[in-house]
Amino acid sequence: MSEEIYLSFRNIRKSFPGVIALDDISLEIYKGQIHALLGENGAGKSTLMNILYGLYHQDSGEIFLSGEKYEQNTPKNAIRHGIGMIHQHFMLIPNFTVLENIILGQPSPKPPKLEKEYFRNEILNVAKKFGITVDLDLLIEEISVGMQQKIEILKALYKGAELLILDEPTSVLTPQESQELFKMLTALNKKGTTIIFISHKLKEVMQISDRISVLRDGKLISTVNKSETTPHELSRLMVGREIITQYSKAEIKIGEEILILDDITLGDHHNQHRHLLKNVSFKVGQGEIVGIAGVDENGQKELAEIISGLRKPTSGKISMFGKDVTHCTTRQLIEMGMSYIPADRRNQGLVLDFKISENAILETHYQKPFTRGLSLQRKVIDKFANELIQEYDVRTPSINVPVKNLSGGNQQKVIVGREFLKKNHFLLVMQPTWGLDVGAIEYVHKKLLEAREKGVTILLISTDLEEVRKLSDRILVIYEGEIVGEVDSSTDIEEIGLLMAGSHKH
Amino acid sequence: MSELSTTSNTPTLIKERIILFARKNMGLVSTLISIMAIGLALLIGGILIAFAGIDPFDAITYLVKGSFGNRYGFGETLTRFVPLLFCSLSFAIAHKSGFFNVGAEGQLLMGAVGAVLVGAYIDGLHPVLHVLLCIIAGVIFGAIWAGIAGFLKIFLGSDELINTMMLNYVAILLVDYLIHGPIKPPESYLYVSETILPSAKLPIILSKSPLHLGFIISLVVTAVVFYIIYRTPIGFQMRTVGANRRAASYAGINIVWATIVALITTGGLAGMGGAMELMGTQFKIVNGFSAGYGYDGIGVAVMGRYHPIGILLAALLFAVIRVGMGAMQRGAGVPFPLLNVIQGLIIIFVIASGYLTNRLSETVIGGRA
Ligand SMILES: Nc1ncnc2c1ncn2[C@@H]1O[C@H](COP(=O)(O)OP(=O)(O)OP(=O)(O)O)[C@@H](O)[C@H]1O
Ligand SMILES: [Mg+2]
Repeated sequence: MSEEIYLSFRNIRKSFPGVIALDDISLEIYKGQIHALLGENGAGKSTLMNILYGLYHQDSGEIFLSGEKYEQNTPKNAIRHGIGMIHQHFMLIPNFTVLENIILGQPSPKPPKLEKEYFRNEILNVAKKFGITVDLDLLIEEISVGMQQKIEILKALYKGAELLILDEPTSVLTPQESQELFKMLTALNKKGTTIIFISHKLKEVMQISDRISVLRDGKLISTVNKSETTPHELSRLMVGREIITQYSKAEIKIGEEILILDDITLGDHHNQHRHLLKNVSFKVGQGEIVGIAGVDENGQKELAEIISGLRKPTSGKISMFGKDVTHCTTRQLIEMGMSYIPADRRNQGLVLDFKISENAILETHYQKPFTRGLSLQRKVIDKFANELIQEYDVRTPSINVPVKNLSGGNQQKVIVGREFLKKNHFLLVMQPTWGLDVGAIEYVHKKLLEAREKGVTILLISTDLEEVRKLSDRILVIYEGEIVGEVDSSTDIEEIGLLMAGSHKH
Repeated sequence: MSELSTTSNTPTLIKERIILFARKNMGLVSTLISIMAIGLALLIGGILIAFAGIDPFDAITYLVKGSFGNRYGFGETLTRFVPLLFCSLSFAIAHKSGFFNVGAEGQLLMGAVGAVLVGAYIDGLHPVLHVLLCIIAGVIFGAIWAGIAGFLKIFLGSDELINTMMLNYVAILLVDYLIHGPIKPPESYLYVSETILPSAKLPIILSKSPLHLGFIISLVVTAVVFYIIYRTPIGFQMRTVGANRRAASYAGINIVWATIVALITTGGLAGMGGAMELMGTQFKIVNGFSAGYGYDGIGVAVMGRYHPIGILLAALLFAVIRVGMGAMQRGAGVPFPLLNVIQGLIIIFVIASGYLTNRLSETVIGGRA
């Protein structure tokens, strides 16, 4: 591997009101390498990359690109200099085709005509060169998340990217999709593309990177070669202590059945013959964690929405705490003691423009003690929000920061904290540790187990098989809207994986 | 933060200092930028006036003198301020609740109709009661008018922008019809409504000027509106629905209810503005009663960035311009179309300066807006 410096950051500093996000970062990225950035939630990884891509400006410090000083960092200029960034939240237009999304904003060779055919050939050439197969005529809303990510990468390559930045690319992918992504990244890398890769998953980092830098609290802790380190060492560098990944689960007696789904079916609006959920029946007892494992988009979201009262099933019955709740509203369920951590934190679990303190009381704002008489009680609310950020280690200068300014993992901690601190007897938990760092994952897992010991009923829906196995008492496998099997948590991963892929059908 | 200033080379040190200062004083910076924007717009306006062959300093003198240079002008400015403020509150509260209400013009007119019905046709009431009833009638009429648009949106899903806009025309024509017959004084040759009774008129609070009690009421209402929006559960719910519907339903908030409350408030406020204008200034409805307050209110709200202080200042600025421009036209002979151009310039520049501040705070100061 050549050791030519492609990009270097020199003494980069960036602060936001009340936080020093980057404190004197100096870092070299070698040409043709895959460089991983690791660090706790809020360590400054995204900020550093956003500065490189021009979304923010550093307060001080310089960037050198191929030995030359790179000034004027704006996204436009970044693209011109061959820098492409794949954000964690894709920026594709759902009802446009793949082709239209890629050429969006590209000047046509023959204005005012759009010249789609000209672009089609060009894009197919680029795709061929990098060995990417795509169907340019599909609508974005028709393709999987993994495919969308490929499109984002292709788009960047088409614009001439020689350096690809990927911010937590795998957090939205299934394990299979992740492996495919890695294959693609390795292939690109062989053809000379330099890659910067942000992730919390040490396994992935160890799998594909050449060098690894660890950030903590805005400081660069160390940069190591992959071959000279271990996951253990990395996690110690990241959080400054050992992380426990195996938990002992207390033996507890499972109580009466709290959640009962009876033959739930949900039809598809667009297609009469398809079912989003089909004859789903199961029970969860008090003090039990039941995991729902499955590849993404197999009905998990719909299932969660039906249980939480956001959507009504076409047929079937749900009861909770011994009451028929099929026709209850979400608020009634919340008041009965349901807590729900949704998968889509940015669009559903949080109001991004609201302050942390406002998000902390999203569901309970009208209850005592947050409201007394006609008015919201500022002081009580602030005190509660402060407790939340302390207990759940939300890294922020204050509770008055809008949550959109928090780092991805810290946003998730706000939701988790809110749902755990609320009165709850039943927890509906979806992808609870998305985007969290290893330390925070450990904490959330511990909290879930604690809740179980206190007799809370928990339904855990996750695409992360290891997480499901680690925490659940029983595992149900969902495939194309049907529960296709029930296994216990000691069943090996391969077997569950086969069920998740629909093996029972063959 | 002190360690930030230990960087070695001087140029970045100065830059960092500036950034740090701006970050700490964002309010000041954005105010300065807005003032500069107004100055720039006036400068360009002045040049245009000079091109029209009129002495720009003369014109500016009239603007200042006419709008707050004397007692009467001052009172008139604050009087104009009242309906502007109500209409911008109406737009702002709808905006916060995720509802695009461009119908304040129509709602204001309907509010005036409500107030005229109670004010002119119900006799023998104690003035306090009469005034109160008139205001309530204005609120109800305005709320109903907004409610029609809201009903169409909630139950038929039709776009509120079109609904509220169209209802403006309906209101204008309806009022036109009313003053041609049903509420025209039988003996009158002019097409006007009946004049409200003295007991329904708002008292003057600054002698030798048109300034009436509505001014105080409008300030109180502003405080109440923002209190509701930021300090009460229903306000919280309205804002949540406005900011993120999916999150609102996730949180168990009743979206339909929050929207209905928002509609009643937004229409009620515009209607109240109409009632105030009627009871404090015009006393009867004539053709062209509103003169575009409903539309100007949108500009005020956007310019004031939906912030209480911002809205108060923007409404004042609009009122000054409205009154001052009349004086410029009468005194210095600046043609009316040119005045409109200048007013437009000021609005555009101030709004543009808002975007500039946003961009600054986004990339340099820190924190994407
Ligand atoms: N726009 C902003 N305004 C204010 N503070 C911000 C902003 N963006 C980031 N920060 C703060 O800067 C720090 C670094 O955030 P950053 O997003 O870079 O973290 P990260 O390492 O990407 O974390 P995660 O793993 O959770 O995504 C955090 O404390 C965050 O709160
Ligand atoms: Mg991040």
